[in-house]
Amino acid sequence: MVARSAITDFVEVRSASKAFDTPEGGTVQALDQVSLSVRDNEFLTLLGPSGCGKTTLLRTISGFEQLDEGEILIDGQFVSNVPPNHRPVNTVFQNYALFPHMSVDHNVGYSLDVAAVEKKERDRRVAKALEVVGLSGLSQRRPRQLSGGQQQRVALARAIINQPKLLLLDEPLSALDRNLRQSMRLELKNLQHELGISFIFVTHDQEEALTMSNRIVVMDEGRIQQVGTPTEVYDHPDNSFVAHFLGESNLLPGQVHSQDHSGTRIKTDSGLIITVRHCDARVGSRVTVMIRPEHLQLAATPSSTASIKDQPALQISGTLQQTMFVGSDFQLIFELSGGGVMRASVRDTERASISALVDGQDIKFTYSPLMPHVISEP
Amino acid sequence: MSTPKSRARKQLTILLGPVTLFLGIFFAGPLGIMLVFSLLEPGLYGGVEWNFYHWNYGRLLGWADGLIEEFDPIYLQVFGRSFRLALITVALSLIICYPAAYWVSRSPDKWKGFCIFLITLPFFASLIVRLYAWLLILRPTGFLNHVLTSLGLVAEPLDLLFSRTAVLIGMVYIFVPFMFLPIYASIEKLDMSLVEASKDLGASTFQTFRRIIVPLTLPGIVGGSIIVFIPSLGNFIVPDLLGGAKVVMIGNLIEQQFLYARNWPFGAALSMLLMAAVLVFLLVYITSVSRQQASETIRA
Repeated sequence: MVARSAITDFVEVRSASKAFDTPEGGTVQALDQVSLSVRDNEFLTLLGPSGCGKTTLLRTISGFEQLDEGEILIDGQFVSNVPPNHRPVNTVFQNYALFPHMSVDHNVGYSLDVAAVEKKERDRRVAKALEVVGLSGLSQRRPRQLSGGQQQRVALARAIINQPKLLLLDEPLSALDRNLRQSMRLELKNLQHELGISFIFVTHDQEEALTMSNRIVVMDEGRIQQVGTPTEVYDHPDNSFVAHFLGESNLLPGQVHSQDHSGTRIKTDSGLIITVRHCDARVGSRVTVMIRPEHLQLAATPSSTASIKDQPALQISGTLQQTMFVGSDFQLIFELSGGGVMRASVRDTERASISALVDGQDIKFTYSPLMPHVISEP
Repeated sequence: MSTPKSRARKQLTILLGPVTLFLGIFFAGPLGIMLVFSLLEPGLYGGVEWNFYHWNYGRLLGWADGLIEEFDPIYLQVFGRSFRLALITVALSLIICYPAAYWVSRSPDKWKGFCIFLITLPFFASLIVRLYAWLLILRPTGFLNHVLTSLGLVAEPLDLLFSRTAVLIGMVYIFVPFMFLPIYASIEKLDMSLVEASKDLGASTFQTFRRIIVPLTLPGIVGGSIIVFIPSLGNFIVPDLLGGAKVVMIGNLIEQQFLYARNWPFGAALSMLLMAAVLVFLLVYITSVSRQQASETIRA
């Protein structure tokens, strides 16, 4: 058995802060006391809306931005004074940044050419890198003669040819069309696994983050909102921002009403009583209840009665406002009697019961008390 | 009924007609006159005699035997001197402009506009006036010598005026804006993420400059060089004013033939030879640049 070393941190970011001047004369805090570590052989995603600081964080690791405060260690070395060309990381840029005046071969071999690697060795490694990304045979093309997906692969080959221990990817899939983006997700994930190196992947696409990552770092306004595995951040968001940003969610602010052996009852501001099995908040404290639309089931349909038998499922009722077909399921938007709007998603298999619904009619949903997640408010 | 084809032809006529007419009358016309005149006999009191007369070229290139016209190598020497001056002017303005253009293109937008304004500021004053200003700066009792002597850098005032140095300073001064603008335009277009990608892949600043920045801004460099080279080759005002009578360039020679010696055919022959030389030179320059650019990418 090979003694695989315990999980180690290849990159460590310690209380990093960075502010930018805005053209209007103000400043914007792109990074605010960010601490983070990236483990060996990990697919880590920085997820957040545009302007949340995720790209800035990536650029401080690659060396293109200097921190105002804090420090970064790569492979145990402080790198604050190390210029980008001496850092053991490589980047896949958002628009690939392929050199337009060079062939694919010279783009991919660029880092070997500037390091004056011996020609035979260079050619061997270029061929290998092109093979890894599936582009053998196109080495004499210019970047503009390639499709978007092929350009993406050239950028990847160019970045991995030096066998960096860490690859930084700045929204690499955002310029591709939807189908290609989905197949590239899988390929990127496989590539990371094959190479056995860490990827830091920046994206604003939650689906990308959820499907590819070992861990997701959710960022907003220069701060880390939550770090966790995809299921952790999706099922147990630490705050309303994370709940809102990842997937669809109904967020109901309210107060813990009572607690007993069957669960905790929370009274929402709209007057609804939600029962949850797991809740750490004390009676009387302010909380936000998150219920995912897919956890609401249309009452009195055959498939939902089955679940009611096992679980003392509870009900939420309202007036149907709108029904939307979104492909894999239907989105039902309904208004609560106490005010406020909620969203439920019902699977396409229940099309029969949905087609019977008319806008404006009363409607009932059930939920399992295991499903709602309670977010304690600070 | 107009077919799409005839409509397209009509459009083309309207769009290109005026420029064709203008260039035909004011460019090709005079050029044709010059070409014809360069092959005619000079009139006794100016003008031309309508006889075929190849001795104008013989006088320049060496087949005149001294009976009708005399070959004098001085003319070719003037050509060589002018080429050298033009090349040095190009080189110096390139060295001055490239870093400046790079810096301006990377500065904040509000500074860019201001810097471009500063570069074009000299055009607001007449060229002659500006050259007279240089006369005042460079003369022995002028501004430059005043500063140098009072700083104790030189004991005696430098005799700069009416020298090749003065001509070179004047030339570079005139042509800097013409070099700056095309280079600025090409650096401005340069995608900075390519520079970052180069550094990310381990290239030093110098390697990035040589392998990425220069090849991608080459159109600006070539354009600026040509725009500076051609007019500086034929320029006669700067050698006239700042070179005194001591520095004769090809431009001065042509000017003299037309205005003072009143030998129009010989002046025309000089002009034709200059044009031919420039064309050959540019052809060689552009093909070598594009070949170099190609080899940069194919280089194995």
